[in-house]
Amino acid sequence: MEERRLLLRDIEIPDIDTLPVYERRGGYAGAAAAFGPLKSDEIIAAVAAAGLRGRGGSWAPVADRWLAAAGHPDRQRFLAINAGETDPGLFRDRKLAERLPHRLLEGTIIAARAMGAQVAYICQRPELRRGWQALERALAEAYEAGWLGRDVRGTGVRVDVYLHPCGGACIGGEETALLASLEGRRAEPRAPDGRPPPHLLFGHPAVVHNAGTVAYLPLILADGGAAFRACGTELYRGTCVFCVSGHVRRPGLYEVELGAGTLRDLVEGLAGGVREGRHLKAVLPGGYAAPPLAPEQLDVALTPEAWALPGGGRFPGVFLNGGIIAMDDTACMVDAAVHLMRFYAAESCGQCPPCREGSLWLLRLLERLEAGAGQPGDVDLVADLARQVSPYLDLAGGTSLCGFGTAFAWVLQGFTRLFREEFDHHLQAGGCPVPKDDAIKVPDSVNIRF
Amino acid sequence: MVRLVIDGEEAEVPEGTPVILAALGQGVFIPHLCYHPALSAPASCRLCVARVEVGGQSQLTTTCNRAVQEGMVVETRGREVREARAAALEFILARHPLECPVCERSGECELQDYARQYGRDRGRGGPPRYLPERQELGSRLALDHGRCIRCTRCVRFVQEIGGVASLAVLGRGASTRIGLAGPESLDHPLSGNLLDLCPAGALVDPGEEPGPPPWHLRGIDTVCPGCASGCAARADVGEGRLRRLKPRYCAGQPPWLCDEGRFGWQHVHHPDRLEEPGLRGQGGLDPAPWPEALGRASAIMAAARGGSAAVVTEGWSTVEEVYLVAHLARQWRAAICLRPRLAPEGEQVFADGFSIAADRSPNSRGTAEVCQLVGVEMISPDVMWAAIGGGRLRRLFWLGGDPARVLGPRELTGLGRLDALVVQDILPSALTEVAEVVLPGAAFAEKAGHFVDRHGRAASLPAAVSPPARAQHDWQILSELAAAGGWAPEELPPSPEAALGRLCALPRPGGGTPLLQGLQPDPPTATRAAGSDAYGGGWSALLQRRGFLRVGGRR
Repeated sequence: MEERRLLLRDIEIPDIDTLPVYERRGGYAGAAAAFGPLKSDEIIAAVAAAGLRGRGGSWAPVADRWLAAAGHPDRQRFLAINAGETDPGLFRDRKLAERLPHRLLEGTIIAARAMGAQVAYICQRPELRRGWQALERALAEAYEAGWLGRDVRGTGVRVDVYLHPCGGACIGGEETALLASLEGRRAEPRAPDGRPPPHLLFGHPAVVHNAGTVAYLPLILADGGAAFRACGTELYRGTCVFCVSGHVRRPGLYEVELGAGTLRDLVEGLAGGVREGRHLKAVLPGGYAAPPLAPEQLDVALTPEAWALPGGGRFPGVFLNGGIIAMDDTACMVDAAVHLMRFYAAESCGQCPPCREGSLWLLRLLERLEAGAGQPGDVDLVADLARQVSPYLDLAGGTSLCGFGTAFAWVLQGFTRLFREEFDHHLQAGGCPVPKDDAIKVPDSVNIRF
Repeated sequence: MVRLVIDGEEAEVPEGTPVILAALGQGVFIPHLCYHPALSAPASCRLCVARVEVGGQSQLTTTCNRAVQEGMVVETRGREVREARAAALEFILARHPLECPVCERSGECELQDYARQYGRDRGRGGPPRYLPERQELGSRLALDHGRCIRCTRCVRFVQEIGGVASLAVLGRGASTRIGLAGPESLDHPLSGNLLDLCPAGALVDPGEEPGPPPWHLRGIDTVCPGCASGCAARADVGEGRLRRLKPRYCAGQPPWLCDEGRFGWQHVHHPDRLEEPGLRGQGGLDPAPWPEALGRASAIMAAARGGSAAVVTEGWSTVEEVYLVAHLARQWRAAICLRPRLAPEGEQVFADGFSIAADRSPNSRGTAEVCQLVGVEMISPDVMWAAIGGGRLRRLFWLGGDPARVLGPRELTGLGRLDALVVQDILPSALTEVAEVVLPGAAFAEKAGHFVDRHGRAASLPAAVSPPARAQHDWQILSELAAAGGWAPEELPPSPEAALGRLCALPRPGGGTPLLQGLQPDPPTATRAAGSDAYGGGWSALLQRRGFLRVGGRR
C-alpha cells in the first residue's frame, strides 16, 4: 500500500501556506470555477458525481447536505467548519491549518458558495497557535485577493469567513455543541429530538463540515472530480488521511486510497510497525472513541463498508475519526483504560448523569484496579456500568445523551472483552503486572515528518 | 391530530404534543426529573426513556423532547425500559448524599419517589458522595449543592418564566454546579416556585418554620388571597395550623404563586391576632362581651343621620359576607366604599402570562358585583375621604382583613375627624387605635365562602383552620348586626350557602358583563376541602393527586 496525496498534496512545499506559492501550485483554481462558470447547483452536482462524503465521521454524501440547505426557504444560511480537533490521537486538522490553510479556506469558500451561505465560521482552537496564526494570515490574504467579502470576484455573491476561537473542549466538536458555542451558549450537545435536519444557527439553517472534508473541494472543483473519482471504491471514493501514533516506528499522517489496503498495511507497513524487540498488543483504531482491536484483528480493509455495525449505523473503528493508536507489550491495558477515562471524565460536558457520573465512577474504579486496590466484582461492575451507559455496539439502546458516553462505554466494554485476563490479573495480583516502559515519550506532532 | 400507539393502546393527540404528555393523557406515566411541562425540555436526566419506533427506526430514547408522529409506536413496559430507568437513577444518585431521614423534602420528593419505584434496591458503591454545602440564593431560598442533581429546572424557570438569567450552570463535567450568574442574590417575585420545581431536596426555604412532615399535613384546595389574580392554591394544615400555601395546578392558569402570596399568610396565626371585642374606654380599648360590643356597634351605625355613614370594605370579604354587608349598608342608609390596597409598582406580568395584579385584595370584583346586583350605592375612596374631610361623612364601619394595609396621611387625618369608627378586623393597627368598637373577625383561611378574581373566576374557600377562640366568623358578626338592625329573623339568610343561593337567584341587569357568572349555588365537590395529602406544589402535587407520586410511602 502506498501513500496517495490529494488532501495533503504539496504539504512539504516551503511556504505553501502563503497565497502566492499556493496559487502557483494550482490553488484557487477550484474557487475560480465555483465563482466563474459554475452555478451553485452545478457545483453540487459535480461534488455529488465525485462522491465526496463527510470525513468527520458521518460519511454521509456532502452534496445531500447542501441540497437540503439549498432547498430550504430561508435564504440566510450559515456554514461552520470544525477545525478544532480535540480527540486524542488526531492531528490531521491542525496540520491542515498549519501547513495548508489556503486549501482549507478555499474549500470553505466553495462549500459556502454551493450551499448559499453568506457567512462561514471556521472553529479553531486558539491555543494551537501555529495553525491559528496561519489561518489568520491566510484569511487576510484571501480577503485582499478578493476571494472573500461582499462581492467575491465581482459576482455579487457575499462570502465572509470568520475565525471563531472554540473553547477547546472535546465535546465542542459535536455538531449541536459547536453551534451552541457559536451562539455563545455552553458547548453542550442537544439531545436528539427526532426533528429532521438542518440544524439552526441563530435561527437559520446551518451545515457543519469537518475541516478534512471541505479541504477536498478545491481539487474536485479544479479538475471536475477526476482525480478524486479515480481513487477509492465504488461506494466510497477518494482518499482518507489517517493519523497513526503510539508505539510505532514512524508515527504520522498517512493519506491512502480508500480500499487500497488493510489496517495492518497501515500500522505495520507504512508506519513501520512496533519497535525492535517488542510485539504489538492492541490497536485503538479510532482514537479514544472506538473499541480496541487485537493484533489478529487488523486485516480489515480500509474502507467504511468493512467496518459498519451489524445493525447498520455509524462506523466504529478507523472511520470514526481516522486516529490510530498502537500499543505494544509495554502498555498495560488497565493503565490505558485509566488514561482514557481521565480524558472522558475531564471532557464530559456534564449534562447527563450517565456520562457525568458514569465517567467519574468508572475512572475511580479503574484507578483503584490499577493501583492494586480493586474489590471483587470491580471488573464486572466496570463492564456493567459501561453497558448501562451504552450497550456494546448497540446504537438503539443505552442512556447516554450523545455519542460521547457511547464512545467511552464501547471502548471500555471492548477492553474488558478483549483483555479480561489482564483486568482480572490486576485484582488477583493486587497490582499492575505489566512492566511499563516509562522512557518512551508520546511523539509530538511537530516531530512528525512534516 | 396525530395517531400513535402507546403501550398497545391507540391514542389521538394534537400535533406537537410531547410523547411524554401524550402518554400521561392515556394514563401511562413516564417518570421524569428534568422535564416540566411549563419549561423547555433538555432531555438530560434520561429517566423518561422509552422504546420508540417511528419511520422504520426503533430506539430507546427520551420522550420529553420529541413530539408525537403519525404511526409512532411507544412502549414503556418491559424489561429494557425498566432497566434503563434503574440505570438512569443509579447514575443520578451516584454522588447524591444519603440524607432522606434528615432532608426537608423527604416525603414529597420526586427523586425519592422514583428511586423507590424505579430504582435499584441497593447501591453498588460509587465515587465519594457530595458533602453538604448550602448557599443562600435569596432571603427565602437556599441551594444545597450536594443534593442538587443538576436537572436545571431552576435555571430554566428563572430564565424562561422569570425573564432573568440570574441562575446559571457553572463549571463542567463532574464539577458542574448550579449557582448565581452574577454577584447579586436572587431577588425575584417568583423565586418561591423553585421550592416546588426542584425535584430533589436541593432548593429549600431557610425561613420555613419547623412543623409536621408533609405526610402529616392535610392539603386543602383554596385560592391565594394575595391579589386579585385568584391563583389556585392549596393550604397545607397540620395540627390545626396553616403551615404553608402551595400552588395548585388548575386548567387555564400557570401553576405558580408569587412570593408575596406564597409567604404572605403568616398573619393567620400571628400572636397579635385580635381575639376579644373591645369598646373604647378612658384608657383605651376595654374588653367587652360579644353581645355588648355588637349592640354598641349596631347602635352607633343605626344612629347615623341619613347619608352620614359609610361602610369601607378592603376586598377581603367573601361574596356571601358582602351580601350581608350590602343589606347592612341599606339599613344604615350608608354607601359602600371598596378600598383595596394597590401595589405602587402596578401589575407585573411574566413571560407565560402569569401576572401579579396591582390590586392586592382577593375579592374586589366579587364585592363590586354583589353590590351592583343587590343595588347598593358605591363610592370611591377619593369621594369618601373628601366627604369625611368636608364633614359630610361622620361614621364609618370598616370591614378589614388585609394584613398589610397601609393608611395614608389623608386617611389618618380623616379617621381623626370621624364621630365614630367601628372596626371588624383581624390584627391591631392604626384603625384599632382610634376605633370605638373593635370586632375580631376571621382571616381568609378561616372563612368558608367565595372570592371572585379580576378575571371573573369564582373560587371556593373552605375554612381550613379555625379563628382564635373568642374571635367570630365574619358571617356570624354580620348576621347578628343585621338582626340587631332590624332584619327579620325569618328573612335573614341562615347560612353562607343560603346567601349564595339568593345571590345567584337575583335578576341580572341586561347587557354588559354577566355578574358573578362563575358562581353556582352548589359548588361541585371537587372544589370542596379535599383533605388530600400535602405533596409538593404545582406539577408534582398534580402527579401525586393522580397517583403517580406517593406521599411518605403511602398510596
